[in-house]
Amino acid sequence: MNTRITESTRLSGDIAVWFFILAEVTVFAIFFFSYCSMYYLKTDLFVAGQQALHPIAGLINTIALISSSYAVAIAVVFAKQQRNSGARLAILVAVLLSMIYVTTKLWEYNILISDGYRLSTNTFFMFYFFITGFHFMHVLLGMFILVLVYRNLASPEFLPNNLNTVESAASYWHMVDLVWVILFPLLYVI
Amino acid sequence: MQDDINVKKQLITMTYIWMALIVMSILAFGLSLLNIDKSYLIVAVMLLTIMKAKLIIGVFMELNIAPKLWRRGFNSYIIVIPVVTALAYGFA
Repeated sequence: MNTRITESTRLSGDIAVWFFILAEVTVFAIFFFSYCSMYYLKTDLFVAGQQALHPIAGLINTIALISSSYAVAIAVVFAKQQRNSGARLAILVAVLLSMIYVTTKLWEYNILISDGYRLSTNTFFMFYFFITGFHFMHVLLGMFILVLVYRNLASPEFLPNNLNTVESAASYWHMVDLVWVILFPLLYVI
Repeated sequence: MQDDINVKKQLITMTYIWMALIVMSILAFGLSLLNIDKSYLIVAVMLLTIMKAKLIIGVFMELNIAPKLWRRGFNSYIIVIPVVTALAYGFA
């Protein structure tokens, strides 16, 4: 007798969004490999560049994005139970937390630019501004998507037919968090 | 009633994961402030990064219940990137 229980597997959200996420992660992976190669070749320059950054800003951003991701994960739990108001509140908290990230990042950019650092300063700052700027744009896009989901959740008819939309938005947002979790030690910690 | 219990269980799990992620981030940051050998620091921080990434993709992104190919694909990314980083930083 076959006693093996086959667990049902499923992707959270739309498959097209997952292909998009895979493409995004691949692009970021290429950036990370390029950054690491240049770190290996120009170690002194990169170590000096890292000294000019503000690790506490990196830590604040990490905590803000992880907490925001947690709020979105909770929104999905509520959405699966068709609890619009709970999901809505969790999405709102996630957007507010992401604003902490945006403010801190802009603050750090402002200080670095005031100190005379630019994209053209050297290879380290070219990578720093390009990778973090590219990630910043993803955060803004993710926030826009979350605001759209928040608005749509106001309608009681939205959830029964659109759980996939909430899950897709959540998966994208977690990807943004995932990229930062890898970027944080690369730039600020080691 | 059963739904309520399930929701509560999931919320508790998510909260533990969130707390673990925050603690690991602060730990990685704290390690960088200590004057420990760079190679040890790199290994410790990259292991923490792999664990954090695994929790995010497994629980938050729900890849733990995703088809094998997707799960393995993403798992390979979150292992390969920190390993390559550790090698580049370690040999630099």
